[in-house]
Amino acid sequence: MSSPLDPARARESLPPLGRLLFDATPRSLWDRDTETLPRRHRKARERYRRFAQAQLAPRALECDRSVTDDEVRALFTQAAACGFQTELLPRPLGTGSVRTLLGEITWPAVLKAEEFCAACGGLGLALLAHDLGMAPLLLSGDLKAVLRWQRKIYREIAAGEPAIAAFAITEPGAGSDVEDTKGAATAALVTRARKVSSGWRLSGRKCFITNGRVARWITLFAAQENRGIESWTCFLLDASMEGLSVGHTERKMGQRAADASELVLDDVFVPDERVVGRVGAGWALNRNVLNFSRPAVGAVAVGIARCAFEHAVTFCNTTRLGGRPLTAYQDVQLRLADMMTKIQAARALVWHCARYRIPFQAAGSIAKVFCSDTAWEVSTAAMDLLGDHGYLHRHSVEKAVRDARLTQIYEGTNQINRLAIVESQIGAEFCVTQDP
Amino acid sequence: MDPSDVAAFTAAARRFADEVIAPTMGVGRDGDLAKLDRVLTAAEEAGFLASARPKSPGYDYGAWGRAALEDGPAASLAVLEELATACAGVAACVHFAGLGGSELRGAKRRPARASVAICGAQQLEVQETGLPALLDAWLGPDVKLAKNGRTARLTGRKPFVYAGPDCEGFVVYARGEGDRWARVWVPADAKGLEQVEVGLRMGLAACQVTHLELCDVAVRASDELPEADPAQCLGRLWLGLCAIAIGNGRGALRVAHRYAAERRQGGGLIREHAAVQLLLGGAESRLAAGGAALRQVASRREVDTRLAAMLKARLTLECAQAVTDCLQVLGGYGYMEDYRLEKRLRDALTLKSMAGRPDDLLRLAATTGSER
Repeated sequence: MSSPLDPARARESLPPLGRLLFDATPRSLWDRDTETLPRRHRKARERYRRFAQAQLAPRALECDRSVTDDEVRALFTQAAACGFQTELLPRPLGTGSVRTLLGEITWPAVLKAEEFCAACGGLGLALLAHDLGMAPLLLSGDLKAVLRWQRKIYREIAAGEPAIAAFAITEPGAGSDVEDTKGAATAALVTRARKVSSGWRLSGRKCFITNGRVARWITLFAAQENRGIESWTCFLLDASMEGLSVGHTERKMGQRAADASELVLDDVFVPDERVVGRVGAGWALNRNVLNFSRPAVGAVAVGIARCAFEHAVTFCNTTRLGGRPLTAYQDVQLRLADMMTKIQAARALVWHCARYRIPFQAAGSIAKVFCSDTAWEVSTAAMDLLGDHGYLHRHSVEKAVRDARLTQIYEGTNQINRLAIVESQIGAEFCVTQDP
Repeated sequence: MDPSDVAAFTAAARRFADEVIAPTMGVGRDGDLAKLDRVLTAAEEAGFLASARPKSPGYDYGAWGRAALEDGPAASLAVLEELATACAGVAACVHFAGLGGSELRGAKRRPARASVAICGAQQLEVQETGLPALLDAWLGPDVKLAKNGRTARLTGRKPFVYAGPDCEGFVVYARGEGDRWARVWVPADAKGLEQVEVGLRMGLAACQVTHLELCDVAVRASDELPEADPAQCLGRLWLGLCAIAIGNGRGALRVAHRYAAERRQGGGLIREHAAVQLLLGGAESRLAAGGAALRQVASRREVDTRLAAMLKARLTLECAQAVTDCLQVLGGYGYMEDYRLEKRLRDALTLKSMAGRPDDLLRLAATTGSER
């Protein structure tokens, strides 16, 4: 029996108008936050969550240990059947809404990212990275890229094919350099495009490419021969192209269900029609893709933090000490409250970023940095709370810790993203003289 | 041991880490575990791994050997720290074997490899105050030694007991008569003892971690050990984990420095970038401060258990932060198994969580601090 001083019971002593103005109903923050969204986003969030809980969460631990390419492809087609893998274009070209293109372009991505990664960081990444692979087609501003290629890929997906896309920018000698203006100027690029009749010949290597092993389509960036990154051009490759092969697949600390593979290009012929956008516009396209993807990475981090928190809460609710659940103890409550607070703040920042009609560099980087650091703090705090149980795989918290760590690295390390924040706001908040 | 002997022994441990342990680390997610037994045998022969056998090379000066009981823990901690620069898991095996061996010093039983089962479920209720009562709660009421005439039986459960491979048995701390602490040797093949594997876990893969289920285990009179202060054993346990955490961090820092001196981004070596310098400098300072604190505590002959608890809580946190900063220097490569930094981070995080939740250790420090 709760105490009469508990807010929910104390509320009863107020007159009706007072009760109307006093919300003490015990409801989850997930429900409350969802209610603040417009109906279309509410429904989307609910759909993403249902899918994640039914299809991703039950497989999370097993897929963290090992997963086959066929399993990833099968999951992709399941997600596609729900319309989740073709949302960058509105109906009838895809399964998104017109509003998506009219200023809500990041909302589906951030809502989906959080729900998928709250179930499993690795499987979530495997599904989400497809949108990253498709993004250059949409953001190139090239209608041909959208109507000819993106629509074609979406039709394949609608027909039930695992037409997974991947985004390929990172090279063995150029990681941070392909995500930072200053570094880009001196990037040691190895992937080169040589102009030939009716197309280009591409040679080189890309590394750490998410879904590199399972992708059918790849948006890949290459510099022209004897030129720097300013000549970067985006090409649309497909896995059947001669000379394109998958090299080494990395063994990662976390998010293991999504592969990170090397792509090897040995004089691959890419016809002119597969140039995405303008020749030489690849650097700008890359930067803008990151503007759109970094809020989603922020949402990935929120999801992973939530995963750690929810599993810690489950543990504390079900483990008893002195006849009471651990959640009844003040020290446990303090830590859980801290975690919950941080997750709420991180989500609020992601949703704030999604409200910008078009995401800009500082917005995306701020969301990415804050949320990934938060995910690390929350997941390691959850591990500490569980003591020795915290490092056991079966409680899912140590998996969340390993998954969280990657969010501080990919899509530009948090150090590079901090520099991107300042770069974006030079001429606004900041007044610095750039190097010539 | 006088300081020059400690320095020489420490240098020998460093060479052992570099020449024997490190080469086994290149294979598999956690190093070549198939070679673990060979490495530990070599550690025993080199005198780093202490056992209860007087004729074993490490009996006197190995980690938690006789000298640690007589001269204080400094030399033991230095050895553990050096071994951990190559692999925290191997260092942990040496640590637990040494703890087990030190508990059996002077006993009839002299296994080559033992361990100690001391911690209970570590669930501190808020009303405990004072170090002895808190330690009682820490060790837990889980295991009881019941005597009936000439027979004695052990019943209960010790969770999360660490040991190296081929552990022949455990020194179990149990509630004895009059609520006193009894120490009992339980061979690994004792009837009624079940070792339950804890399952897949994050780090320190070289160690075996089991729950000991003791179901009416018959205890011979010769296996009951003389009374000893559990606070000293707990303190040594925690200090050893601190030393391993620092060594693991130093190993990570070495990798990060080497990488920063070779990797070029932004037109120059990354060690010239402020962002990388801040990460490396942060890691250096955390490890330096932690090492200094540990040496300060280790300079005393008797282990101050309260200080050991505080160090364990604080220092493992700082070392984990140092390792994650080192990993960040390597960017995407740091996250991949091949570069061996993600393993160090997993080990660092495991060291932080094991053998006492950080919050419980802090509460132990706070509650006992009010006595001063």
